[in-house]
Amino acid sequence: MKKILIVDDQDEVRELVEVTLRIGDFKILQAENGPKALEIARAEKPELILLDVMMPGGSIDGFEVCEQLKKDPETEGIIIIMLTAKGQDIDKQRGREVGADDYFTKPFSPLELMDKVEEVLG
Amino acid sequence: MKENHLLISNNVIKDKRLLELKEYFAVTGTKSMLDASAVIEKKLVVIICFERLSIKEWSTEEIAYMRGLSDQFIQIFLRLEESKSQYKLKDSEQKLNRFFDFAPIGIAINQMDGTFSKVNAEFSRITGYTSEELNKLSYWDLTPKEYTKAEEVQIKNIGETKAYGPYEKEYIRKNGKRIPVLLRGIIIQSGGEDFIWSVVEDITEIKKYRNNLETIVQERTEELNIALEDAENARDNIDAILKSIADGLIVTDIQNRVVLMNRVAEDLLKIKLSEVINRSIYYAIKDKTLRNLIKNTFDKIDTESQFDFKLAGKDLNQSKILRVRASIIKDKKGNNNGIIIIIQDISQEREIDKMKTEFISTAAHELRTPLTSIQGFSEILLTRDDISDQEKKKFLGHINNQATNLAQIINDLLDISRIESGSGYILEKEPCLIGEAIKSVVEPIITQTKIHKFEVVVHKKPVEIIVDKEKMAQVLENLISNAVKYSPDGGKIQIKGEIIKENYQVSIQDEGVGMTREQVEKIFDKFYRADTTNTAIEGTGLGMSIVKNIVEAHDGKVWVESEIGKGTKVTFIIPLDQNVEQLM
Repeated sequence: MKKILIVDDQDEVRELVEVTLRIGDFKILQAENGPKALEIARAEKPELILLDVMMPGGSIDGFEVCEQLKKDPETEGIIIIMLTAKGQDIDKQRGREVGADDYFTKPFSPLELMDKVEEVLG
Repeated sequence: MKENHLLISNNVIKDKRLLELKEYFAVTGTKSMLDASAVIEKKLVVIICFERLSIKEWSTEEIAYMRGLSDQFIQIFLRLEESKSQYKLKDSEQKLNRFFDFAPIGIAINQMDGTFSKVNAEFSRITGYTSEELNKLSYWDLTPKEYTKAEEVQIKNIGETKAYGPYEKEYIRKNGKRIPVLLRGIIIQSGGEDFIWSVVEDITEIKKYRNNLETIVQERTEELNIALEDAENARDNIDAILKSIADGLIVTDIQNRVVLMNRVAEDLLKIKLSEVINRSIYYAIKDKTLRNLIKNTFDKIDTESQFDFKLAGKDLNQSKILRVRASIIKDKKGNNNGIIIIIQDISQEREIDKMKTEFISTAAHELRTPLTSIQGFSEILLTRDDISDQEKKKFLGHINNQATNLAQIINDLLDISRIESGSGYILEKEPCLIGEAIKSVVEPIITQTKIHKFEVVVHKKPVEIIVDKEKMAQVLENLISNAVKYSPDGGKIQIKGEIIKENYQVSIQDEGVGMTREQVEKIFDKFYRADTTNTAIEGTGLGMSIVKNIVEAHDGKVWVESEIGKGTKVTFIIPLDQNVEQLM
């Protein structure tokens, strides 16, 4: 069973993503801030991370989490989809710079997200 | 001197004195001759001549007779001369008198004691006295008292120089009125006695004319002074206007030399007008890039030209964005007279533009968050059949909550646009138990965070103030959620409500990241977020601006104390005074 890590500071968003992915055959992991996301990613090595950018209560944001994971040979293989309200071109560019595999802007359609997840996990 | 010279010749032919008359004697046959020449003042007046045709000695009687005859002639001549000269004198005296009387200037002859001895018609006209009346008066009688001293000076002059004047004084006329006169005089001896001859001019008209002239001169001088003052004021005004202009201003002449520069320009370019006046503008501008830009502009300028320029400062915060506008100054004939350069510091406008752009993206982001739940959960509910009734209810709750949030965000945005347009707030004031209000705002926030410890300190006895309840809740919510947001590592958040003097004071203190002094200064600016680099913190940057506006709409005050790394304390006060009155 493939593991997907959902990283978002808002319980409601994590809940939404979890419900969205429930119909697939995945093991869902959750983190509500950057440091926790890094910890779980390193320990669990999920196949996919759905990563929010702005997360108060943590000293690092989603872009940094992505950058650190992509730099680390141990975790560079993890597919990362940014899932963020930051929808400007400059944000998407930053996403590419830190090595994100895809970029999803909030608000999003759960059906489309499900399609995307299935696509990237093959 | 008068004398008779006798020539006695008894025989003219032999007389050597008469050789010259030989021919004459031959014709007349004269043999002896007796001559008498009458001489007055060495001048020969008459010659009487007796001649005889025979040679005979002139008798004593004859000689005496001749002398007598000659004497008589002398007497006749002397009398004739006398009467002739008497006639001459009388004639000149008459002329003088006529001149005296008809002279268009007053003439008076006074004795040395001042008594009038003779005056002319014009003098009578001037003084109003007849000459007979004047003969009984002295010039002292016509002299006003205040001229006594001046008069004495003139008299002293007469004593020394035998003359006086020109000297201006007044006469008291017969009718008591005064008349201005100009006098000048000399001493003339007559019959062994000294007299003062004075010419007296009536200067009433001259004085009137002179006074008019003086008035006119005075008026013109005054007008000129006023005009001068006006011109000076106008120049001062222009100077003041130029100096008070918020933009930098430089004026150059046709040779690009600095003619004028105001304070702002001095400050922006860090030079003093006194150092660069009449020197080339290129000398005045130290920054190479700006100098070249201005040079290019000047070279190409047609009528007006403009460019923006970033002037580097000591550090990034001090660098400025300047908008430089150059226009040609044309005189009435359309000739170029120089160039006026206006330098506008548009750093702030740029900063606001930047803040607005940031605001739009933040606002968009703020809207995306609640929309995520609304779109996501509604789509789930619409498309999925694996959702339990319990879940359905929960998701609908999320949707509803987020719709409410969305409405709140929109209200914030509207508040700000209202504040910005200047229409302000319309408060709906009502009594509010402030302690309860604080608690009801804090409670839902407490449930949202686990890392913060809340401490709410309010009066045990309920305190009622008159406020717009909803707006007050908005203020408290903003401040408390800021305290949570800006203390991401948790810590104590203390909320205190108390009566201090005539105000109700609320303070919210956190142990969060704190702010620098510069950040504190800008905290109430619209769109300002203390730390935009920290993307982990959400917010529209409108909260504090809204807080300030609401508090001030209640005649209150809000201020911030903060120390970086230690935390922030926001305090606001609402005056109790009016509230108490309104309660009664």
